[in-house]
Amino acid sequence: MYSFTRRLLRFFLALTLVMSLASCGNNFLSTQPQDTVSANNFFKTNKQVENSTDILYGSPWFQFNDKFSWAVGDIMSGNGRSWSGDVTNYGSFSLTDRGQGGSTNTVLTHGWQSLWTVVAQANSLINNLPNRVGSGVSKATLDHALGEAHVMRALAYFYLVRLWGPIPIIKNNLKHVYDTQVPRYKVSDIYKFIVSDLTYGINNCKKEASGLYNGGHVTSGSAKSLLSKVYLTMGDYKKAQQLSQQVIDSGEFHLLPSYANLFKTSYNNNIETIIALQWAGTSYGNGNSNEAYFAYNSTITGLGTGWAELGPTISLQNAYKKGDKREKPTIMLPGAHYSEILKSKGGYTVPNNVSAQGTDAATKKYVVGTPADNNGQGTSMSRNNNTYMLRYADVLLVNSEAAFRNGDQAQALKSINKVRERAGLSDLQSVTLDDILHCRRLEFADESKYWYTLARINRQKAINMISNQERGTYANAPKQQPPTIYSEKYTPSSSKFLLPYPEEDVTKDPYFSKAPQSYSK
Amino acid sequence: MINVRLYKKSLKYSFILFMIICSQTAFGQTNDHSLMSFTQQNKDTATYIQAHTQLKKALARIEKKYNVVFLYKSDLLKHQKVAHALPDEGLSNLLKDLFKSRNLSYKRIGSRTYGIIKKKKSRGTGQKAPVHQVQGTVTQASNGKPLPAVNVVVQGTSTGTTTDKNGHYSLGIPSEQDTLVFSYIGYKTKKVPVRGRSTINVKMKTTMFSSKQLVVIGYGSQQQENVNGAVSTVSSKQIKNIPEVSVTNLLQGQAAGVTVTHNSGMPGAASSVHIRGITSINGNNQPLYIIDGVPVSGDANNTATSGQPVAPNYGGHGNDTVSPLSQLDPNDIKSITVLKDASAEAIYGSRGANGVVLITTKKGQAGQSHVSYNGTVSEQEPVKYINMMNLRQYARLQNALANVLPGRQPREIFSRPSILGNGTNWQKSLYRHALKQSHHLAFSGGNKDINYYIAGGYSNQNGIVIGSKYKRYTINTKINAQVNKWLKAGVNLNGSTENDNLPINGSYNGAVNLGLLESPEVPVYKTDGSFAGPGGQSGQPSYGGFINPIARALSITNTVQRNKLLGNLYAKANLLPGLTFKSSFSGNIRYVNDDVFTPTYKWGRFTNNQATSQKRRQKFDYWDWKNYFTYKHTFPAENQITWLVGQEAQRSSWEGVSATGVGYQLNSIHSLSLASTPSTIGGFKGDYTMASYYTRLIYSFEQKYGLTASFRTDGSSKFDQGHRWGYFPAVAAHWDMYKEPWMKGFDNVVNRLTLKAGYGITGNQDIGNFLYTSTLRPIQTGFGTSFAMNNISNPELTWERQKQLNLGVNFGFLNDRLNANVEVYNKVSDNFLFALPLPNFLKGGPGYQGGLAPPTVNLGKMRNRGIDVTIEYQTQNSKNFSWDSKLTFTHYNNKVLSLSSAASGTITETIDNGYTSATITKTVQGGPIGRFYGYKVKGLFRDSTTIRQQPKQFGLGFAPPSVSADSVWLGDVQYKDLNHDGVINSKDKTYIGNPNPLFTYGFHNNFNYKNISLSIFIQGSYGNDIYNFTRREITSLNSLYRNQLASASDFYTAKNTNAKYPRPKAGQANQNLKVSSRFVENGSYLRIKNVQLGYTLPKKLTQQFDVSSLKIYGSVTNLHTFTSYSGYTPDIGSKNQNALKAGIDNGRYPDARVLTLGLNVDF
Repeated sequence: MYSFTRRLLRFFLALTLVMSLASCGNNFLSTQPQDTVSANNFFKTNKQVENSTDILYGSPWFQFNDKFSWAVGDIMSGNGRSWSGDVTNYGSFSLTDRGQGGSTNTVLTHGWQSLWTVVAQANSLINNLPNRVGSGVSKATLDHALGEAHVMRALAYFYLVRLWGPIPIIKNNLKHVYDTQVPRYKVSDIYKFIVSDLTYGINNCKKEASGLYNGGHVTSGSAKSLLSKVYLTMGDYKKAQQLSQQVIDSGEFHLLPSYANLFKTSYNNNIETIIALQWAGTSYGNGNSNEAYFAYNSTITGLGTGWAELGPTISLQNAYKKGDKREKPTIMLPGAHYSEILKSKGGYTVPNNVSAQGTDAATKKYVVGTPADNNGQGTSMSRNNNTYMLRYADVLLVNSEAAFRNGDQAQALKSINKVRERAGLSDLQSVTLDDILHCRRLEFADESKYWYTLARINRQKAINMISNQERGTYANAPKQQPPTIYSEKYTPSSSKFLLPYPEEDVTKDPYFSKAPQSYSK
Repeated sequence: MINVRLYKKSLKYSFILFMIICSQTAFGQTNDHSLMSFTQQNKDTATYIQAHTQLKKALARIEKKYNVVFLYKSDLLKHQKVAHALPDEGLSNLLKDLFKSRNLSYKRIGSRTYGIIKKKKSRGTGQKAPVHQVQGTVTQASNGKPLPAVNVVVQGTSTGTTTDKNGHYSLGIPSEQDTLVFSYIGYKTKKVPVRGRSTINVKMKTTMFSSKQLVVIGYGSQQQENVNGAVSTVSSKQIKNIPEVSVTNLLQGQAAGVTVTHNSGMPGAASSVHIRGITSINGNNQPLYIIDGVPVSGDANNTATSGQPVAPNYGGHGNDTVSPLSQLDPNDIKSITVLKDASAEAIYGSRGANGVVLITTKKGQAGQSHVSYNGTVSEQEPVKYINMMNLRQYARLQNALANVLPGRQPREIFSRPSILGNGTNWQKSLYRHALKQSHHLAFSGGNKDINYYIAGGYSNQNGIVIGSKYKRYTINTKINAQVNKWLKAGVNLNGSTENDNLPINGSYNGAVNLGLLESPEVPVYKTDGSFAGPGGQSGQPSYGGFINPIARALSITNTVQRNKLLGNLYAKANLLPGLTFKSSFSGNIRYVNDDVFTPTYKWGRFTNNQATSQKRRQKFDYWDWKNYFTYKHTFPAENQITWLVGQEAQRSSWEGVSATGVGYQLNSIHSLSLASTPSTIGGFKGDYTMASYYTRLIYSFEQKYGLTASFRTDGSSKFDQGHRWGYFPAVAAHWDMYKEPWMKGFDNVVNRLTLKAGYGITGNQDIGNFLYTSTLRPIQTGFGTSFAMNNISNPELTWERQKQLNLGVNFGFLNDRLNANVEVYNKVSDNFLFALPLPNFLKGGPGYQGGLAPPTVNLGKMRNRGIDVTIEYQTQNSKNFSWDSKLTFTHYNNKVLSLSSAASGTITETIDNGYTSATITKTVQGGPIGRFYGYKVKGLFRDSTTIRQQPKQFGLGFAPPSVSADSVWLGDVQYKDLNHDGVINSKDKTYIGNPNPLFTYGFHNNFNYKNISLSIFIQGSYGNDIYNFTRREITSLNSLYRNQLASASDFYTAKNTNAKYPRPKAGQANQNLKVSSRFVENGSYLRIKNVQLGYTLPKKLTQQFDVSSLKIYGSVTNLHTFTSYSGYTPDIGSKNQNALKAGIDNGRYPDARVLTLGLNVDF
């Protein structure tokens, strides 16, 4: 009897143990994030909302800025050349043809992904902020944040439409998750969408008397500047001139007196900056990696990087006139001395046998030197020098070209000469379209801009300009005079002015092989 | 005479223990007794104890009178009566008389305490005094080895003994005409009439295929013949002495239904183990491993926990995940059971969807003390070198390419190739003959109440690729104790520390690929002994070439140190007759340190002026507490039920930090404190929990019919409230047809025939945390820390379910010497979990750059159908020779039944060589998972007259290179116009290969002749394709400064129109290099995986040194592989266990041939 009761007791003890553990049920299963923030608990204060847009100036642009932007902007446009396997096909227009199957080029996919990342992050703010902000958030703060998100989304679409033409319009990523087959829309509709976003930005972003807002965020004036360039691209020269003139008259932005200083980290967010990417430069993915590819060697960077992947074409080298103050900050020529690089050793002198990609020269722009030259900032493939998306010189040249096309020679001259004066060149007395295009090329060489100029002007004119560019190499040393050139010249067909879509998207969305639709939403 | 001493000692210990256990009971009983008179003081003649008094009562009386206590087991004295009336002649005389002629004896164990126990051995005082002494040796019939711990009992009595470690026994028996019964688990019980002999040596045969063997099933064990579900077992014998460091590699070819591929030949690398096909479309398809009751995920990517691999995989390009199971020394494994169908797995519910592998480690055996040592020394050597160009061939190629590639010109130094030497043979420098050694020492033993196993192991393996290395120390202990009559407790602990050295491999810029591509003009070392590199010599340009792979492998160190402690503690109580309660607590703690150091270097044009040290410190904690009741009851007519009901809670947590320090003055010290630039720091932390309830009923009727029904429900924190709980029922039955009376007539044909059927549902929740809600991700910008939207949430997210039907049949023929097991199954994964493959325009780029993680959803359906066959054969035991053999055959057919339209019906994976990222596999509704997808090749354009009539390719015009650099011309690859639309474009892509094998197989043979043993293990795969991406790279003919296959000189030129390879063309993305059938190869192979010859020294010799067995053996692993595959190793596996990236050779680390000398010693 006794023994049985004890056994029974044990049984009930065991049962109690099981039952007590069993009751821990749902509390036990409700775990909380420990290394991230739930989206539901954020955007509660003015400060949080103000900083919510920071992301739109950083990492989402990384892959775009890393190689794609200059592979298109400078290599395809004939400012630079490279044998590097991932970008060499840009210089020879031998990426897979559009419509004949998607491209497998990693750089192209990265660029595309990156721009859509910007769209996705901007969309998440545009769609979530109004519902999620706390009661303590002021309307002005919310409006500005939404304005910025619209401007940055427009900027991404502006690149997308110029590079790929018809593309999907995604205003809210969540809406398409379960039906990913989205049509491509007509180019004109995409421009309408961009104009509408930028108009929203002009109306909602803060209006600043001078410069960017809150240490680098875009303003209403930034939106207006970008819109003027969009109109120029669309061929609406009237509006382009009108808006650019408004920006010029506002006095919000000015040319930085020294062209060379534009590209130094200490001049981040200077008075000429209208829109710029704001790099942290602390690790791969959050910094400006251009220098790693551009710098001629690792002595310059002090970071093991410096692969000289972009060499200035013979065509670009020959485009500079003597005395152009933009040449030295853009390309490195044999024997040139740069006091801002390797400061502690008295500067850096370009070796006489310099030859990035067989060009007997190298790239200087966006090369900022060792971390010691930059207050200890920067790590391998990650620097903190801003990337210009739009600067005041561009607005001046937009104004000049729009005015020229509108027949306003006086204004065209006025604006272009401001740019020329800073470059140390004499004022023009009369101006032609070629003058403006040429000025644009040199002003923004190696800033990933020239391709967009070639792609928007008269197509045949562009083809002629390109086919005359010398994209080849100089013969190996020893150097002769005149130098032997292994010539490479390409004549792109008209279809080469739009890039192929990445293969992955073509595979996943059958609309990529169907005709673009009209956008009515 | 060691055995006698041991016997005595153990007797003593068990006696004391026994006393303690019994004390309570004995005291209890004395109190119950009614008082008897003890006033009688008449010492001489008065009867103090009556005849026929129960002995118990008599003793009670003595206790009172002499103020002593007797301790005994209550049932010991049952039915014992006093034979004759006894006078009170004092305590000692009374006891003497009482215990005379009894099978009991007493002993004074305290000043007033006596213990009573059964006499174990007759010492001349028993009722039936032994009249005859018998001794002898019991050996195994198959190999003549001694069998220890065999029970030897006189039939019909409890008199008996067990054999010692030399198989020897000695026993006094009551009569010369008695019969001895020899029994031992796994062997056929043998009855031998003594017939007056004094020496009886016995040979015991194994029960054929050990059908009575206990098989470990989930939460218990069962006799193999009663198992209703589909299970495969692998015994320690099967894997013994195969010199593999990791247990997953050992499973290859060993069990039907289990497909194992080595993902890399790197020491310590993860393998892919797929049980019955591929269950889930993305993420983890690895089974759940249960090591002595402790669940360990087979997922090398830690998907369900931190999502962080233990070592960085170099930006996602490398295939270098390390095995999560490497902590276990295979020498410690006793058996492996693979649960294959839902009815077997369902008791593991949620985590069982990919199959369950139960690993039981060794434990001590009662009555046997063992010291065993296993040691091996191996030499590993590369199996194959690929025939690359030497310097002369390379120079000719460079000249030829320079003439046709734009902007190039031949180099001066190559103007006369014939005068050049061979140049550097990079493969010879990269691969080495590498040493491997392992030592394992185990102590085990025990008695009926306690058993122990203590083992220590050490392995040290250098990889055949220079710089790769793996070192491991393990300890393993297991103690089980019968604490008292009703309580059993035990503990096992497995501790290990592992050190890996991982050079970059398995990627486009890994050591293996660069060892092929690096130019022979570049030396490994400079004349001063430092590493060289391209562009480092005069005459070489400052561009081109690859980083010196040897310099990199030896200088850039990536060391992973893993410290793990895995253990289990349990207590098991017998509560009521048949009812036990077990509470088991398991823990698994892992600390992982990863250190990557990139020194400053200058190897030719590759320079690094800034040394970098990256460190990652990760911690994973896991605990699991199970409590369950088991009720066993046997009704009349052999109706037996086993009913299990229980509860379980699990929690996994993890935390990690990563830091990078830049700028070191020294290359030798890597501490972060020496970095000149402040470190960048990252961190992660999280946990997940699961709660479960389960029950299972096993019913067996007349040992003929069996039924298992189970139900489990799991709640997981991976899902939102309302979607957390999954329900997993299963049922299975078997019918032992051969036990039916009407089968008797077929006895000489079939002596086993069992049918079984089962159906059940299991689940899967191995996904990342918080996918049901949206989270923000911190990212650094120039403004400071900002927050990016991290993922697209899916609040509806819930369990993936998998339904499986299993049908099986077991045959036994030829007196059970030939056994066959055939099982077929249909497994349907429903609502499987996968991250929606959103197009880039919806998700953007990678997460750390702000891209959105697509929602993980429950969509789609996939089916695996297959057949598993195991055939075993064993010769009739003859005196000297035996042969046993096991053949396993695995076939599965994988088909995706539906994919959501959201996924556009396709899932694609890409392959990356740093320059191009091309779709390589495509998975669509109606087809198997992960097929290669690309263009079909028709041949080369060789005919100038008709070329312009051919379909236009990729929008390129037909023009000679002199006219356009971007055109199609003679010598280019001609693709097939599959849709006949007159142009070649992406619409002409199709499936060009299938990495899923038609079947895989393993064939084991063990031969024994006297003291010599020979085992041969053959294993292979048939019908799978390989995409040889490495061959694409070494025949790319698209740029200078990269070495190529020697045969690649046969490329198309105007003079060589009959060429094998297309004309050289610049650029990585040129149309000749598209993903196409050109690079698909037959991946079938048959591999002589292991051949082992062993010799066991004669006992007579070894016994003189107190050694019970000593075996020396030599073996060769990967002796030869029959295959038409042109790469290093056809057993490609999948990249980092990703089932969608299977069979793609992108610089896979080759498997080595291993020559081993080994020694097994048992003391």
